[in-house]
Amino acid sequence: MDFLEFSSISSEQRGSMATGRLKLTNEAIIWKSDKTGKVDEISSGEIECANYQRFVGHFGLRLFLKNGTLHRFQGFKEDEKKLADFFKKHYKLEMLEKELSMRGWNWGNVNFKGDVLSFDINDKTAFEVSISNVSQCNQGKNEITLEFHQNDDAPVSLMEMRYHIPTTESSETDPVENF
Amino acid sequence: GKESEKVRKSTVSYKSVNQMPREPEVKDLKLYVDKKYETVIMPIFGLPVPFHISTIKNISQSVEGDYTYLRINFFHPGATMSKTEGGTYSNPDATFLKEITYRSINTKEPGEISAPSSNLNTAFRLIKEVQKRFKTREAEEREKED
Repeated sequence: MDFLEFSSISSEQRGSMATGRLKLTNEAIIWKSDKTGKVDEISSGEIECANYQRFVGHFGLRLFLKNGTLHRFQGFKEDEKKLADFFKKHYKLEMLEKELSMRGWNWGNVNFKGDVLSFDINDKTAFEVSISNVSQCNQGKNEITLEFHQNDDAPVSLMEMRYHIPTTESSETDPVENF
Repeated sequence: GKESEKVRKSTVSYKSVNQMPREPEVKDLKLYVDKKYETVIMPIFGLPVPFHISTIKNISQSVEGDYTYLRINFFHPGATMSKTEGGTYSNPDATFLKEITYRSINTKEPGEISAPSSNLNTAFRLIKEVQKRFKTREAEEREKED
């Protein structure tokens, strides 16, 4: 059996990064938390798309599943090619780069895919929010407020976001309906 | 001409991820203020997201019980702008992030050098500082143009 294993890979859990070990086998991707021993297993058939994202000094793996959920792992130090080859060989998936927007703008477009809200600036994603992190969503005039579940494991925890929505857009009722 | 002057400049924070600072705060998903690029890097669900200082309207901080809160208000259409801030938005049809609030614990865990909320305190101070410098420079440039 062919496999890849990485230590000190962090997994995003409600806005904080928990470190653990990531193991890729022929059939599944398994992440085990160092602290709690919690295991996340994703079978390769569940993956709809796999991307890598470049960060400062390391890169991250982004998995979007067929059920609409998003999984993210960070802390890969080596060349992404090794991982990409593994995905291609065993999962028949092309792992492409998903570049992040570094522009620093607060305006863009909000797109929904599965359970994921993504804020895109010029076709590049600036950030993504899983709807499961949202505790409450309110709609006002030209405004959407998202409140998030709090996580005291994170050094700083995101509480609330407000968006200004132009009047012409009707698709923005989606987040409210998602609850 | 005068029209183009009025349009708020679309300042860009970083050209690529390589310009992002290699600071532990960025990796640890804390707030980081990059003075060189005049950018605030904010953690949003696992991603360090840059916001240029020119997008930030004002910030406020409060302490309630065991927590410190930092609220960052961004410029967006529909908000009143003073004359000095001036200008219009180059793309009013976009969705704007208006406001973002962070929360942090004030109490130290055993073994921690400082409480988690010290990051929000530092960010508050530095954002004010960089914002002040940016505004002063903008005002000077406007004066030169006049």
